[in-house]
Amino acid sequence: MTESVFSYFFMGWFDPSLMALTAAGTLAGIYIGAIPGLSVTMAVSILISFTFSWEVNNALALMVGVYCGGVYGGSRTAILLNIPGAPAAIATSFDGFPLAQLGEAGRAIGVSTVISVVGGFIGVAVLALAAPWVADMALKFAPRDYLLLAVMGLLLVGSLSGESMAKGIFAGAFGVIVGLVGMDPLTAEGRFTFGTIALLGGVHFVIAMIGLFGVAEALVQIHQIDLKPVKQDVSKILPSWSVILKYLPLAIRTSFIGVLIGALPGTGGDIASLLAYDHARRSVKKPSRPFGKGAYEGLIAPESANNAAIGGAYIPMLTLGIPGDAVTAVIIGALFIHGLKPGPMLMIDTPHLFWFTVGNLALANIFLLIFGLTGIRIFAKMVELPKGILIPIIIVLSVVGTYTIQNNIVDVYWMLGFGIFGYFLKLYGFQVGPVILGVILGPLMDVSYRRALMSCRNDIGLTVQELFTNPISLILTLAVIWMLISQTPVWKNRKNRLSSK
Amino acid sequence: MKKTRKLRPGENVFVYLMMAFSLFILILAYRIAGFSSISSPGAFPMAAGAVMVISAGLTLLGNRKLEKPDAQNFRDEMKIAVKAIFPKEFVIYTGIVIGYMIVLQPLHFLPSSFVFMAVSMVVLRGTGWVKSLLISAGTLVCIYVIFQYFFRVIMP
Repeated sequence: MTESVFSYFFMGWFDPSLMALTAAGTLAGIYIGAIPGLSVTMAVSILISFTFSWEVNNALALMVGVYCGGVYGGSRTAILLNIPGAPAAIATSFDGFPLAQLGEAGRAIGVSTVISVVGGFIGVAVLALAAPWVADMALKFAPRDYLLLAVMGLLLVGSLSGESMAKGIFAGAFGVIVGLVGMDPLTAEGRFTFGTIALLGGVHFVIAMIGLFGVAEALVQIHQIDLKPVKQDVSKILPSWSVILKYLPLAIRTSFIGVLIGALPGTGGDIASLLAYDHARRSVKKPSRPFGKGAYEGLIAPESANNAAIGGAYIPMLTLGIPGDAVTAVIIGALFIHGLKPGPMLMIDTPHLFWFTVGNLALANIFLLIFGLTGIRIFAKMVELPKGILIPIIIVLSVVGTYTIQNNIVDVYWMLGFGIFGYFLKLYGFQVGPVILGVILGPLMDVSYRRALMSCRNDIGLTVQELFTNPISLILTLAVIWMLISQTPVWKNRKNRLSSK
Repeated sequence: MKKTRKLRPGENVFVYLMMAFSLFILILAYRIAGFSSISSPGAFPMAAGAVMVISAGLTLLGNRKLEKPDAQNFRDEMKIAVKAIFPKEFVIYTGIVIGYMIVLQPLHFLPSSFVFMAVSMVVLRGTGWVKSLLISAGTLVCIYVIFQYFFRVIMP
């Protein structure tokens, strides 16, 4: 048994063609991830038709590479341009972009690469060692638990609000409304559609993301168009051992958050990285800089979590045939096309597939380290381009990225609308981070709130009771309550008084 | 200690506009399903709309504690606000961006983007004409190759 496990695990390592495919996939993934609008889900879907006639192992090796590279690649543009290349990199931009403005883009990318690989390996390790157990737990999550998770994520508004909490909450609630536009998933009723069909499909959150982060930032930059760009220090890209060891405990904690959120069906790297960022803000007492102003901790938490979520997303997929996120859903499709039957029997019918995937994920992470640390100098220098050149390029990229999502010109107008609205929000001290948080978490909250109530026949008392009687719900409820209390001024004052003593 | 900051010119007007917008959202949300059930499709939107209204109200209350902007009267404030929000470069450039989005489909992606990039690099004082033409062409070739050849994405 152990022998066969090893031979399956190293299958991709010793076969030159499999290894080359994993490498090529990872490299391509990094650049796909870095371009806003090109998503990993899309790339893997295209690869299905592309690899239709290939052998299944070859196809899977390529997809694993693209997946790993793509999730990591989103951080590049998040750090350099404040446009997250992928939703999983939204939280990366909170502290990554300030770092680039301080001239530390090279170092930030270096640290995020190494930490992504650390997160990736933790994800793979959990997948290899505890897959059945985690899958079992993930399936025990009821709608009310998803609601609690979404609430936890939304509490991040408190730390992203900037100058005024009320403004942050407003921005978050506005995001929730944007996320709810379109057909209600439970009753197929249109909401905020003004009776038009064009709005029935909803506003894709990547459109909001590109508009609010990319275009709005570009418009704000026009105010200081003649400001010389910050000189980037690219002399020291590789982080030293001491730096990595210093941040390792945080990276390990957030990686475990990533694995668990990744393993939950329907939630992926985007929510994982937001929750991880929130965890870092709460648990790190003395960050290297204040959060939101270029704290390395704020970079490390989301970057480790989103790559750890990859291993997590594979857990329910390989053990039960349930996708952990959008990409693994597409990969399940690929398995079907190649004649395999994803489901609880997958590991019994085709045991090699599990260990082959684990081995491949590990291999892809090694390639991620190699490719991630190359080309940083050129990337970092990109930010040194004069703003007058950079801004038009950002706008054109935003247009292409938005258009590719649904091949719809209306989306481009929406994106511009978000951009201009975001410009006003930014000028008047509203942050755009909470908006995007609301857009992502709003629909999840809406659906799980209603499912939770419906499962108790709309009985509020019973629903609240279940929050405290079910073990998973109880832990999550207590966590939410603690998070709420620790944000109140009374608690903060007490803590300050205690620490000053 | 909290530092009190000055209100930005036009900030309160903006928040009032947001308040009106929130009320509009709240009414729309109410019209989805009214108060029919706590798990109706309209329940959560109404809650979110109410939060928007309340938080906009709290922002206005909070703003009352802040110092007034440096302006003699409301008209003066508006004048300053317009100057601060719409500097000349911003108006010209946003105009160019909107123009670009309008001609994007009739003119097709490549020609319209080429003209847009070349013109805006000069307008934004990024570089001279020759260089801007070269950079635009280079960027578009990259975008075209990546999106059209590798991903077979349809361009606008």
